[in-house]
Amino acid sequence: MSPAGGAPGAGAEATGAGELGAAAITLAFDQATVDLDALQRSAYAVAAEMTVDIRVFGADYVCTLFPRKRDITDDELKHRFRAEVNDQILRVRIAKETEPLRNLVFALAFSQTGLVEADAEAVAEA
Amino acid sequence: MIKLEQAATALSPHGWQLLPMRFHRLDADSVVLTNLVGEHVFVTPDELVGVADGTCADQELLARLRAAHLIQVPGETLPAELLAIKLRTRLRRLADSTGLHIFVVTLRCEHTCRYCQVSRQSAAKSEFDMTEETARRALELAFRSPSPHLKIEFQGGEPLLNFPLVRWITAEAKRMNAGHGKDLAFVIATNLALLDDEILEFCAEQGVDLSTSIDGPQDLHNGSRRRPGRDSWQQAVAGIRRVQERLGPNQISALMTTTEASLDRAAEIIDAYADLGLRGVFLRPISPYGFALRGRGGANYDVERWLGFYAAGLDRIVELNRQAVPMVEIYASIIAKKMLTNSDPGYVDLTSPAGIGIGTLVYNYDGDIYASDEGRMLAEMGDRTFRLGNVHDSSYEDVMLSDGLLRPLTGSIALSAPMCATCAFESYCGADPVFHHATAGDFTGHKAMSAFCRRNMGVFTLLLRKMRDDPYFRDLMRRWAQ
Amino acid sequence: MLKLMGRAGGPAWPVADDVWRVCLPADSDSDRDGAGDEGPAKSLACLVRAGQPAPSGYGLYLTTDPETGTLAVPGTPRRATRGAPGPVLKLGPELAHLSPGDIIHVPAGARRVTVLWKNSAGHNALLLTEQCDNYCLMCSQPPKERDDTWLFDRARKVISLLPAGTRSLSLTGGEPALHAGALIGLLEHCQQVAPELSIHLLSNGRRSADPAYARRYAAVGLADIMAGIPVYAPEPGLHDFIVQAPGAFNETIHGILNLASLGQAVEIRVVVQRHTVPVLAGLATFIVRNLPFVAQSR
Repeated sequence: MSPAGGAPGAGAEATGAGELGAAAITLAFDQATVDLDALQRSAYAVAAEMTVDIRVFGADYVCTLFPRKRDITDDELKHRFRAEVNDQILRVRIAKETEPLRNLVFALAFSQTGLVEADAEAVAEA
Repeated sequence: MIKLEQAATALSPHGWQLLPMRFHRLDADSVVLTNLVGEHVFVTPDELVGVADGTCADQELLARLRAAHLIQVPGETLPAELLAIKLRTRLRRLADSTGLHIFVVTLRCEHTCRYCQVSRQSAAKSEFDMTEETARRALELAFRSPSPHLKIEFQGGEPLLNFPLVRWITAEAKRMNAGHGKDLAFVIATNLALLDDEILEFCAEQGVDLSTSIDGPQDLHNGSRRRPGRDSWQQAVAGIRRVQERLGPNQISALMTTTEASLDRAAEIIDAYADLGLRGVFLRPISPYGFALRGRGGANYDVERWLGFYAAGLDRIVELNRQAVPMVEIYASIIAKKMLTNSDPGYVDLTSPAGIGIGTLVYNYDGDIYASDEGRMLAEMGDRTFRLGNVHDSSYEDVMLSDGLLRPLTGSIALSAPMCATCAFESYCGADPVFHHATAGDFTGHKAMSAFCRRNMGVFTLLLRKMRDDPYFRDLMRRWAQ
Repeated sequence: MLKLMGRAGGPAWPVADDVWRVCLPADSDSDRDGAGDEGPAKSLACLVRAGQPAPSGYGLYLTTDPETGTLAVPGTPRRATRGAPGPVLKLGPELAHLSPGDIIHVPAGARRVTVLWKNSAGHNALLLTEQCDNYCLMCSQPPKERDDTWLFDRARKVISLLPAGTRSLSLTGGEPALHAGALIGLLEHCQQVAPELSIHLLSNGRRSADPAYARRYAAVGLADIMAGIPVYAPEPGLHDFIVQAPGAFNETIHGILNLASLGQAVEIRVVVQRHTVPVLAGLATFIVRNLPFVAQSR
């Protein structure tokens, strides 16, 4: 379910020492291509399936994944988290790009509603 | 002679800007995009990337995205203006609070339904009845609402056990309305067992509608809805027929309450409604708190099982429609209006900000004011978080500007809630601060772990897949949206 | 099918370029507008059937009978044996359908007569200009550049002469709003002399993108006027191509929004043709979501 063609920030495997010791499930993300914001949003979104610990390690963010249930393989867990990260990266990008227009739409929508007296006067004068 | 070639109007790579856009992956090869006001377009995962990257070369797709205000050409102003108009239209209702006023005229009831969240009192005790004085003060508050439409809903217990007050409130409301000119509607939520000719005449004369409970076929219904004589279903059916004859088929509607026992019997429930001539079925979840938690037949049943139940019920309704029986699934029809039009159907349990206080107010028999019916039920369990005051000593301003209302309202704005803010279905969805308070301890909750979210996402994705794949269902949704 | 242009046998003396309403000799005095002793009825043309006497007092006489009416030249001593009291037009057989209430245009020279208004038709349209700022691929009336503002004057006269009981009127072009002042003036004239009329104005709506023009249009105060505005696609690319004018879609939709916000009735018109057929469903969706206030043609 990842976007086709070389998604940014595809997690590389890292041998990190998680809290559980040698069997920790970790993914490393390059800080140059992945926002911390996207990682945090991803951790929030998958909270029902796993909890995620995010740390800085050199030029990477290292994410340690702790599954809530035993019914999923390590690989599937990583796929799930990586896919979520890629989607969140896309969302963050879209949000940044569309923020000015989004603000404009809201400004237009809430202007001249007549709900505030100053608005009503402005409309009357127009 | 062509002055403007069609090719000249084509969009070149990177020749467009994105407008606010959200996406959800429906399947491995299908994504739904939604704009700021919930208009949707289906694309493939590759198309999503191409549109976001500026590399898409499919002019027909780009044209559809322009029409749906998902992309625009740089420098255009019309898309933003139209989006603003549509957004404002959708939010218009916020200026017209409060439309639904629930009067709990008594807590007395001769049923003892297993999932009832209201104190069970035997039919004899009249200290659980609302007084005229309380009702008058409640009406005064209700008429302070800016809304040009007021719907007064009589609830209980069993409201017909205090029928004189129902009659009084109806007359008094109409009298008070002379100075306001609002459009008034009245409905009695009743089990119909106490329906008699006097009450029928009153409803006919005064234009009062009736709403009752039909949980499904007889054994399912009577299994949960206990009354002396064990004939709740028979009484309800007889009552429905009497009302349909005397007042007309549109004057009575029915709601179902879903229990564990309902979950495998969706088609039978639909058929029971069809047999009774009831055109609308509302496939509802059961609220997870109140007596439902303590009694059997309620509790936090599996959301996935409920979604299976919903899908089966919806399938049966579509099948009946194909056989020219025009049944409507009410929840889907509410969502259809939100998906396909700019108008808000005003269903208080699926709006953002939530309908607490601004969509509905509840006046309990003792004058206590609650922000919603669920808020009242929570109070019956000892949690009075959503009690906003009392009609005898609270002014309209005390109630509507209280922290007790404004804080949960603020927490119920989806546009500023984590995950909701970027959810593709934000325009269709709502918020349930009472539910999240009761289950998660705060008004917003954590949507990744919220049964409210899981359930609604399940319904939205089900409806969208069916609309994508089945032209008949798509047309049905369009009809339901009108 | 009725012919609206026809030949006429020109009268011996010049008839001024003018617009006339057809009436019968038997019509009531009020219709003759003071005809009789005070002089020829202005703008009323009396239709004389074969063998009928022609009453005096009209500015023009019409006949389809080839025998009737040699001409009486005003101010000359010569009178014909079967004189008519005013200039007579002998109409060609294609104009035999003319009846009372019809309105015709007789240009100087009077060789051809144009029927501008057919009273028996449920719907009549007045052409206001052949200029246009769209160049729709399927246009049945491709724009012409020449100055034809005289059409507005002619329309004004027609409106002044409308027979009693006229319910509705269409105004069309070209693009009438290209001559904003003339159009507003014409609408004001309607408001003065025929305020009960139901008016349908065909326009591409682009001029209404100018809020000042939209306000002037609304300020005329007509009780029953609807603008019929074509939209051929739900987005600028295809619409601009079909009307062969870049920027047309944005202006047209802006115009519709301005009119709507001033409480003016707007109808959306769609032509089914090769390019619009594939997008009809999408266009319907666009109208429902973005222009839900539009009216339907009565």
